[in-house]
Amino acid sequence: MNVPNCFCACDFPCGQPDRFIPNRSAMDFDYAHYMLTEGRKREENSAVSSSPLSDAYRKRLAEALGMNRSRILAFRNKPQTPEFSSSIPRDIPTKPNRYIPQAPERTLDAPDLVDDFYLNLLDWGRGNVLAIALGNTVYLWDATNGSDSELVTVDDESGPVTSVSWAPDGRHIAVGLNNSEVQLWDSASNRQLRTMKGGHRLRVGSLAWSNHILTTGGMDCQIVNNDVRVRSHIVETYRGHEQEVCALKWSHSGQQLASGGNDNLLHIWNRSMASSNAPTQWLHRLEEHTSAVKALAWCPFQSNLLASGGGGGDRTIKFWNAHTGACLNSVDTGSEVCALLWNEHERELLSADGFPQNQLTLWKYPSMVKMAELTGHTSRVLFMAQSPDGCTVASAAANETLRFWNVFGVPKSAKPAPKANPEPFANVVELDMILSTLSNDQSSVAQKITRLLMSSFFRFKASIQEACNRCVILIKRSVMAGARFCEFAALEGASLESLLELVRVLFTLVLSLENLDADHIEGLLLAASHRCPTLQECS
Amino acid sequence: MASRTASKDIITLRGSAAIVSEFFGYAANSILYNRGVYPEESFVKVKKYGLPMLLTQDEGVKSFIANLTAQLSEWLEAGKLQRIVLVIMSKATNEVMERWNFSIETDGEVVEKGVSREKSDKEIMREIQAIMRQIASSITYLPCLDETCVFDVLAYTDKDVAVPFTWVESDPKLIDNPQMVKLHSFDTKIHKVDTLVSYKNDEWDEQ
Repeated sequence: MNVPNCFCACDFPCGQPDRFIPNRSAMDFDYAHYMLTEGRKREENSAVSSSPLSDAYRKRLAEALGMNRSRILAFRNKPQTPEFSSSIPRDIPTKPNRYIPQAPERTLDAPDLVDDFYLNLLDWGRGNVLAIALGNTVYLWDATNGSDSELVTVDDESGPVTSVSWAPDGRHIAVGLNNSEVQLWDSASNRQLRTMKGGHRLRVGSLAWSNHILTTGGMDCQIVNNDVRVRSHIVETYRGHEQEVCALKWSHSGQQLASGGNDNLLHIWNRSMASSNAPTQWLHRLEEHTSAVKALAWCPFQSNLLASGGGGGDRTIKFWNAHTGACLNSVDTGSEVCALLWNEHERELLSADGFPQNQLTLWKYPSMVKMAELTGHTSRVLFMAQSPDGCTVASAAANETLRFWNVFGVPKSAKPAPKANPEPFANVVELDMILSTLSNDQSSVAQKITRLLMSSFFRFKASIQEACNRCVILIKRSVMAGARFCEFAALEGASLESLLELVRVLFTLVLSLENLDADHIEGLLLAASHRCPTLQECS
Repeated sequence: MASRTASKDIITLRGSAAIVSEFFGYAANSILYNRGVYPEESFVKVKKYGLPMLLTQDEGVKSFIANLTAQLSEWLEAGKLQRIVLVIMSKATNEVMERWNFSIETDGEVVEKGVSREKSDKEIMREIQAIMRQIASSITYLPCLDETCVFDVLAYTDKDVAVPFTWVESDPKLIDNPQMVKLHSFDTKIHKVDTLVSYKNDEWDEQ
């Protein structure tokens, strides 16, 4: 067993052989020798003679030589087997392929849509209302309920409308006109807020919002930043285009503005470099397109990435690093690119094409493999807009139709969104504060507060049933305040009929004992008792 | 290694057993990591022997190795452990792919008479470090383990050892016609550990 350990090369001290020379002690030569010689002999001999005597002899010999000189032991409990649940690529769950409907979900007529490549006549606001300009008129189409309304019709001297754009709040809308004016409208009240003049000399074909800044691009080659809050609204001017500005898009950070023009130029402007006194110098002037740059889209998942599409003579989609101005990729689409939209949920890009196919094409980014081609329009697709949930795309084509496609995913089933109904006066003071004053302060104050609360909790317009329910809610929220509210409600003009009903409702509720604790019952009774004398007087 | 006596350079039987069993724990972890027996992300890095070492966080494996080293140090203190073998087998077929063989020679005099020996801690650590480096670099010549593998540990003890309740006798799980590579050794002057890895012949060489 103890074979000396010096079989190794002499350069090395004993016991430290070079790593590739087998170590004799570890290889167990005694055993090997036995197996080679005795083991074989046994096999050979076994056929000839197998007397019990020689067997016994061999056994003793084997023991002596160490066949069984050690015990080999292993744990009864084996280590648990490895689980490669997450680390092996083959186990990665693959995303199921998304079904892309080939047919439009809805088609609407868009009569008198101006077939002009350089205008921007379609926008879908954050309030889920689609604005489209048809001739001299701007129409609003509410996507939630499908109702439409007319926002404004301008006269023939100022019209037609050349651009529309929703403000980020989804309520205000900017309307660019052929006579170089820009109107600002409040869609909720259907009221014009202001007209901005003097920024341009020719028609305003493109608009873009960045908070309170409305950027307008005109046929006079100018780009103007308007602060809509102030009287002298022109705050910055960008000069660099040599022909009509037909596309404007602010980056998601609001720091960079991309502008495309009929002069085949794409400019990127930096907001922080802008100043009011001098026409601002561009950050990048990109001259690679060989036709008008109408389609622009900032990537939602990679800031600095801008996609741009060229017109009929160019037919490419190009990708830019807006930071460095480097062109990252250029893809020939085979037709003019009128509009581009990114999918907000997946790495995909949708392009609106003109002649010859008049289709929408869905591209995988960054491979730019065509994923789907949506046909249906019979004439070039001029404008595209994306719904606020990012799923539906509206496209308007020169054949005067407006089509809706669920190309970016099926909208979530219209769940009854718990629309956080703001509490009355929430922007001034918390309701609990008001109620605490109502229950504790002197009568004159309480009466004034009741007057304030009447419209919210005991509305004349609403049905009596609704009014009573609201009143009960108020009592449940604050017992004392509710009781006092009922006390003063008559003085503040609640009708006799409604008060009678209220008393009836209160008593019914108390008798039903449904989900009521002692405080609530007390409050309801107190409120009812406040009412009874009044009713007595009246009757 | 709390039991090691005050002077650093004197090594007792107990201290030596602790060094060897601890070494085996780290070596087993390193083999399981480097040979990809358990997923990479189930290991965390610690500093040991002046090297970054990886320790499994898999509770099952952790407790297996902890129980193992506890039993090993008991046998080492009695001078009855001859060899430890870590066997890597195919999970599907149970075919033995690799055997990591740690032969142990114990100085009989120390066990019998209870004397101690002298060797500097630093030197032992350097020797262990060399083995650990070799284990980590073994992936350069060992055949790839393409299939999911499991491991087992065999302890070769003296014949007169009583088999603990949690252990069973096993066959040696040998590899037919193996390739062998001898790695470095370390010596506490009481236990000398020789390391050798044997593995299945790569059939491609023959072609």
